[in-house]
Amino acid sequence: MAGWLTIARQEFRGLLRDRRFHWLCSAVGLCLLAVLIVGWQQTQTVRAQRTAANAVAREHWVTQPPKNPHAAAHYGVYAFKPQTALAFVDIGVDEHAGVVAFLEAHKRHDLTGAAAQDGRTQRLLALTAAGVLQYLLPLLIIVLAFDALAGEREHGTLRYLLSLGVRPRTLLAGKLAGIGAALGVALLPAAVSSFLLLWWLEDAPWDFVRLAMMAVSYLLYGFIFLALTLAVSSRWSARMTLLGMLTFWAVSSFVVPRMVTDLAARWYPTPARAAFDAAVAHDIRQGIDGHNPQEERLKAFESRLLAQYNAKRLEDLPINPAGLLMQESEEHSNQVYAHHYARLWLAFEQQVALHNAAAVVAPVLAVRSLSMALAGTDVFHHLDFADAAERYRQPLIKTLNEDWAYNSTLATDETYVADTRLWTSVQPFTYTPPPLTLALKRQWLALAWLGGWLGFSLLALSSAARGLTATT
Amino acid sequence: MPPMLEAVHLTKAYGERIVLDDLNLQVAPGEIFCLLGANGAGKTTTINLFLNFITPTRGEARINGYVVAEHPIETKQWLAYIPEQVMLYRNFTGLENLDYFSELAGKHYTRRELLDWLASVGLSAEAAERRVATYSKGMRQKVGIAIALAKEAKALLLDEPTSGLDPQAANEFSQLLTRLATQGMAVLMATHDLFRAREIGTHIGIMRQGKLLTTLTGADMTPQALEQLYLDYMRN
Repeated sequence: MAGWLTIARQEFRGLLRDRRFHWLCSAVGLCLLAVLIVGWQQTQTVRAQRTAANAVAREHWVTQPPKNPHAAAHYGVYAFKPQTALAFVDIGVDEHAGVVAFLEAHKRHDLTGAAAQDGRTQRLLALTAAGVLQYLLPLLIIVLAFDALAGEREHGTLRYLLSLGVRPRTLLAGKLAGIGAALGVALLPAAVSSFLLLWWLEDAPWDFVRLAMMAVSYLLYGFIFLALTLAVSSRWSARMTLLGMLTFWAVSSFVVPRMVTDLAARWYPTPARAAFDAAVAHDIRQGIDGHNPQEERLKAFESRLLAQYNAKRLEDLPINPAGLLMQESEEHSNQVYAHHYARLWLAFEQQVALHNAAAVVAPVLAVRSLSMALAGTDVFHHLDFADAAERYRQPLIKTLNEDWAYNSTLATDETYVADTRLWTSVQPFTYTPPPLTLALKRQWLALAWLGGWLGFSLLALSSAARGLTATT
Repeated sequence: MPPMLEAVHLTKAYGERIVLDDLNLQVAPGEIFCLLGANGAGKTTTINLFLNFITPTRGEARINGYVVAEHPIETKQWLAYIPEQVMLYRNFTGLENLDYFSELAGKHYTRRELLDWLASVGLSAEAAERRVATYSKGMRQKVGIAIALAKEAKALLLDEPTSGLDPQAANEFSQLLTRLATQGMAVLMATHDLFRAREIGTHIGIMRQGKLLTTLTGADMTPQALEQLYLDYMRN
């Protein structure tokens, strides 16, 4: 048996005999299993609820009584964001961002119905499998590995091992493999369960690819912490290694993300709800450039309309100008919303970019972004759904306004009603999340930093192998 | 045929401070060379240089003709090391420890063979199956010797191996060493124990402040001469 395998086997057996290992791994492993099962159950429920809600919303739309199309435009349509299958592993921003779009005339509503608003945050202290892996896994690794080399040195067995001709890199490789295998045994039930749960939840093969990639991301994340702990343990005393790595864990997991969130809010501020609405209302009234007031704009449109139909009065038009004026107004407000939402989206994207950039000092930020992207629950997926809902809203309102305009006149305006034929002619809202490649492309910086941390940890291991001596 | 252990002008200095000064010695198979001296005499430094735990400032440590600093891994195949405290894995049995260290030394034994190695150093099968946490120092030293035997080492380096052993355990240990030497092993032992050195040593080197002052062999090593010599050197 190769030397590193012998050492790995010894380390593995040693850990299995260690009561510390039993308690910690049982706690983390069971916690992970529990949050996976709870998350799966809730995802299943939410997916069923949203599918049912979409069906009910559609039913309400097509069975609404005959009415003026513009009244129907205000009756509106609800679009529910389909929950991705992997939300049971990482619920991401869905916990706090909205998932329901109310689509009506004149106004682009923000998404509502965040999980945090309906009490679901109470679930198991709001822990998710992703949270356990991002925060507790490194802690588990540090506590199990801090004395892997320092302990050998302090106990005196390192001299003994080196006297046998064991190369330091063999020792490090064995320790890495042994502790990794022991952790693997502890986390294997949760890993297998996650694939089985996904199997029962979803049969889309791409989700298995996403879950496999997520597993690899967390594997690399764990490797980074294990390699760094071993590298530090090769130089420092066990006590100092524990202290140093716990400090790194606490700072990189909690302090840096908190600081980055505050900095992101300061450097790339998003407007308060009231200020945003006021700015939109102002631009709708005055025009985006402030020199195109609504009243003048509509008067100009009326003039163009009269000229087009060679009429002197609106009452003489063969169509209903109210519908077209509404649509003109709608198109203007669409531009205003597009302008303001583009700025808002840019601020969100800049905030995300800052978080990903900060992964240079906090690997948790990189793995968190990747995890959410793979689960389809990151900010970009949220924005993509919001945009998709808006892309559905605009032609919907246009269809209703034009039906009103071309099937009535001002004289028949009050008596004109549309019926089921119009309602059913509107296709239901469907949403397809962005493909995996696009999701990953948007998180390239997180991917790059995870790679960077991996490279750094390998360098640290290599340096540890060179520096590990009996007299260190 | 080269001596199994050889120091040639072996010198170690930390800055201006010389801790081992131009050491020359040879230990042939079957010989037990005892390095006697007070703390700081350079005994442990000599052992560390043979183990390549530290690198020499000048000169060479050679094992079986190979320069240790140039062949750090290869030279260890002939070498076994027993420190003052043989540190083993406390959560493992003596048998498991022997199995582990033998595997690392490239030797693969059956359970029966491992038990035989342990029995050959006086450790019963019952003791071999117990966790090392329950072992006395003497029992751990025996496991250390068993590892050296199982490794089929040609040279044994010992650093104060009988320090802290009760008289009976120390006596058993000495008998084991003598037996190993008669089987052809070259032994280099750092010790404070003058009488143990005289009892088992074929050569006794007196060290002080990094220098090997003199080496006694055979007829020179009468108890009176040895005691007088040692005290004289230490006093001076």
